[in-house]
Amino acid sequence: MINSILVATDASAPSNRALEMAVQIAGQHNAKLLIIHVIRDMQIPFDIKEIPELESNKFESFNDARDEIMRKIAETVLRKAKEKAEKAGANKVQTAIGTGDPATSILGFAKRRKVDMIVVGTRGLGKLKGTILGSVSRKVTNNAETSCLIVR
Amino acid sequence: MIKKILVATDASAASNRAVSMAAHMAACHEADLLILHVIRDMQLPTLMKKAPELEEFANTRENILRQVAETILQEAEVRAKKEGAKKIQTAIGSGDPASSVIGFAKRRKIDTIVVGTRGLGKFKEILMGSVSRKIANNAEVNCFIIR
Repeated sequence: MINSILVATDASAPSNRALEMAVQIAGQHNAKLLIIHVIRDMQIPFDIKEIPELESNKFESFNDARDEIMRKIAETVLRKAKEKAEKAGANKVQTAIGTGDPATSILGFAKRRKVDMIVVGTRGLGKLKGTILGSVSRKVTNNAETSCLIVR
Repeated sequence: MIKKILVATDASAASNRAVSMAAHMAACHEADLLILHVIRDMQLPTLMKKAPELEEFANTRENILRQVAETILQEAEVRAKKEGAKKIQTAIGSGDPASSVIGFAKRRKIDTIVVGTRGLGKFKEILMGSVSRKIANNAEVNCFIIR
């Protein structure tokens, strides 16, 4: 019934809990586990990109440098997550790096890899007091076409 | 880690899938399974609430819905047993479905709530019904949304 699980991690405490839960379920159900980390796009106001004093090559080299650092971080996060998962008994573990909007990237991976369960952690960063779901987890659970486990 | 699972059902296709999945998880994790059905309050315009026949009508409705609830829970229990769940309990809640589910989860010290979703969101892009969304947004424990 549960054959492949996707879990997203940014190495935060909630996503570590999500990983632990995903690993446990993958172990129990002998399911494949895909661990992904998403690198967000750099957020820069559009107008700033357009100011003439900013030489575009400098901007690009800055962006490239950021990208390189973020990829190194992503690789470390995923390597550690994979080690943790394998130690805890998951034996079919894959990792992947996504880019752009985290929720959109997670949903894209879920579709392409045909996972049947998405596990997300939540920090409870909702705007309203009554809403204790963070924005990424909310977007994922609202829009996913597969079952989602929200881990608190 | 998964020890006490609550699944809510209204016998819809989505909640039948949720019951099967919850039972499957309960079997795999040797967890307790609580199957819950919630009877919603009667929605009436204020003017009609003053009608003298109302109490009788409300009682009749209550009796019928309790019978329906019991049938739904019996069928869900059969479904759960088929999936291998062993420690099954059932309960009937009343009032707002999401609040009732969350209340039961708290009182019974549930660690995982399982709910189906029919994808009845107001916007096309939101594939989640209002009950499941309210539960996912407000529960203090893990929620498994089944599609």
